[in-house]
Amino acid sequence: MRKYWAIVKIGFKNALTYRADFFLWGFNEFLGTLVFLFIWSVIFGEKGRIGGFSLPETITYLIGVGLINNIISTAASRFIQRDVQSGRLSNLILIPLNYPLVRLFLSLSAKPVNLLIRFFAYFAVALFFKGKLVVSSNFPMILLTPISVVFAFAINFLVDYLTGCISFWTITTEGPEGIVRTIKNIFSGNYAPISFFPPGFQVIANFLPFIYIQYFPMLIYLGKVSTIEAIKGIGLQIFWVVVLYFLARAVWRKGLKKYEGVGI
Amino acid sequence: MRKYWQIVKITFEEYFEYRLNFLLWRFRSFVSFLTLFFFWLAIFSSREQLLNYQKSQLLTYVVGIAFLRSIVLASRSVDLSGQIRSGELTKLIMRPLGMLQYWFSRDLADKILNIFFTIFEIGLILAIFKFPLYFPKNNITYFWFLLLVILGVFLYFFISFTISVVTFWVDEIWATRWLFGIIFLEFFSGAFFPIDILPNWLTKIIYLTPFPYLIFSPLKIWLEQLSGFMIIKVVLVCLVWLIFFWRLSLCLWEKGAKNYGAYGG
Amino acid sequence: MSVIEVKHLKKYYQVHKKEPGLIGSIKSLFKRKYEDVKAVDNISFEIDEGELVGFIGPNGAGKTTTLKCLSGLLYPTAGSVSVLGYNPWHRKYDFLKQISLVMGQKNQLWWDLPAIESFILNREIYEIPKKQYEETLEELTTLLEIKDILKIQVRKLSLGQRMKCELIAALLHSPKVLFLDEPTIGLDVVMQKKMRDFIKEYNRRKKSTIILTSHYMGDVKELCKRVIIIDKGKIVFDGELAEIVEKYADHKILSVVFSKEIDPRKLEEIGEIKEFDYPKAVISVKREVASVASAEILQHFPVADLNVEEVPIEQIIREVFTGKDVA
Repeated sequence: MRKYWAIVKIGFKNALTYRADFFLWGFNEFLGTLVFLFIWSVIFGEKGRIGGFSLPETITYLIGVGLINNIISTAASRFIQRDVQSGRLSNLILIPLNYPLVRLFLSLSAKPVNLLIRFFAYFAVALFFKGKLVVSSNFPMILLTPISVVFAFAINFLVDYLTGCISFWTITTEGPEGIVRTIKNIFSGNYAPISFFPPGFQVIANFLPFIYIQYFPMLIYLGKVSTIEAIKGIGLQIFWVVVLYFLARAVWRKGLKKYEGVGI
Repeated sequence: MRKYWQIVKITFEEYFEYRLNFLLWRFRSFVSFLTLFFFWLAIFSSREQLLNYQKSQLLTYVVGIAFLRSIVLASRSVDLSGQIRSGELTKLIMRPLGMLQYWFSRDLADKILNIFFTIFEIGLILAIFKFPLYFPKNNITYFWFLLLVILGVFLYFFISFTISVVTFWVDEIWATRWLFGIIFLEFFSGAFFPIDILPNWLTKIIYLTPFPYLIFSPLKIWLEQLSGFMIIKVVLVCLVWLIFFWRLSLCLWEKGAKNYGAYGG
Repeated sequence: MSVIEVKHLKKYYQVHKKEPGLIGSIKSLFKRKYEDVKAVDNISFEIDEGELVGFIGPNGAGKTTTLKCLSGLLYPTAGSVSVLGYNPWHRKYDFLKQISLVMGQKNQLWWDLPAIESFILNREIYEIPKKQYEETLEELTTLLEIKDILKIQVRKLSLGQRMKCELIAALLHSPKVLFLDEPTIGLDVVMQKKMRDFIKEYNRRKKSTIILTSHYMGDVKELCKRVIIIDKGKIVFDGELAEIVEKYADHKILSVVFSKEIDPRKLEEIGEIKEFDYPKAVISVKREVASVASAEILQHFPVADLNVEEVPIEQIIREVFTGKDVA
């Protein structure tokens, strides 16, 4: 609808005013990823394989995960917290728009600017590791990877939205949000493939939705799962999306009721 | 002097007021430490050496990181940019307090609290895992280590003060831009891993910055991997950086405070 | 036909009471005592189209709570609220498109973009037809004298300019009902007057129903013919401002400037001396005898100047709140 397109447009314009920040972050990410990859190179050294991954696969994994991270990222949690705590939410729910949808579209609106810069950052990183990348030529996988990334975005957005709702019940902001973010990052395979973890962790990871945010799409790309398993996995992604959607909706409504009951 | 001690006390009380915040932050530090520790433990599960580090040395390095982070890399001067932007700073300027001394007193409270908790946390881990920490064999090492740590404390203080003071001129400095400085800083100071396991060319670049002297160099001294000559060189360079940032922060502060009145909206 | 109908509105909050000290903190972890705070306690009123009504009362009286119930932010504990025929709590889009709530410093303008961008956004959100949008924008920017700053980033504007833009953003969709919560709070004297003039003019031109809350008497005196006084969640008075004066102030104030020294005790025979600081004096006399008293003073005392005034509304209201008989 036109209204939400107007939201996207203004979000995009707003993001443009931050382009300097995006450059800084992009550079930051470039440097961080580079250093991180060097460490892994040293660790692999002569070795060969860790957790079923070769060095090229690990390097490709980490670059891919970084890119996916930027595609699916959302600041919904932070904005919800800000709106709740400042009382701005009061103004925003009196606008003839669906607040959750606004959050969703705003998350998307900043992406074009951000992704362009980050893409170059990761491209630069890839240049340092030219000989050591895995470029997939496996057709079904090339198709299935983007699909799983779309669902990964949905899962990430819903988790983020839920995290933001915590602010309805707590006074402190960073604490709970930071904990969820750290757990999410670890169990989505952001720092290292899940298969590098001790078996106990892997079991836990498989029960959480986070593994489908980054680890799973990369597995598809690297061809580490068969087509059947990939499709099953996407099915599980859909399952999580549905579960999280209803959960988020319930929590949001409950939180809103509390907010209005107490009022700010 | 007494008034600064009072500030230290008040900072303590502030922490206990925001108990939950404090606990959560300690919890996060502890989790970061654990993650890093387990990470390296896992790396060393199938080997005894990584480049020029023995297993016990690297693990000692990790413990050292946790310890030094709480002493060196914690500073309340972060609050400064917030106060500049909100205009609260005016209240402070109006009081007969030396700015640098004020912030340093706050930091002192911060660090004392940190050390206390960090020792407890590390002690817990070591008690559970019972692995041997590397202790310097030469007594003189302790002296040089302590010296560099103290220099590092002041160096970091002045660096972060400088970054915060920049808020006087760039009112669009967001927490994120500052965060950029922090991430940069943490990697290059050796707060995640020893710098010298990176490729040579990168290590050389990093040595041109002041950051490695905060955590990496002191720990190298502790691990007795630096020659006497190197130690002296490191201490001297650190001192030079310290003086540089000290003068810089003073100068920027004075310039900024002068114009401050015209600011604030 | 009333635009707003409130019947027996009640809004209670549950607040838990914690005993002070460490023991209290520990206790509150296990058992919590809840207390009912009656923010709004059984109020009823009706407001017609085009009225400009002021809700006044001390801080915490329930004004803002009532406003929030009217706009749909809070759900009533009991009673019914109807605005423009809608139940505000449902927040139907058709309802929201016809109202506007302007509450303090919580801004809706995008900070890093020019104000005009936020206006365009609102045009889309409220589905305002292009022509109407342009006319309204023209009208409002002319009235508020800010045509030339629309393309400047909001964060670079002064507080006054920002507030004007916020106001425009809130009025672009020509709301039929406008809720203003403390509209002049934090503004300097000049801005306060401008704000009041604007509200008055807007109400006159658009015939929109405006409800404002304030604890500044200045707002009320300037703007509202009708006031509803709320205290401790209950309506203490609902009627015309002039009524309050007549009903509650049964005396008048004589301010005198003497040209020569006088004996204050003699002055006491005429009326109660509120202030005496030679050469000025302020005396309070019963309303009916005000003219007689003035004549007396003029006759028996060396007077340079004499004024007969009403008791300041602020004082009346203050005394209404404290339950004192205004005398």
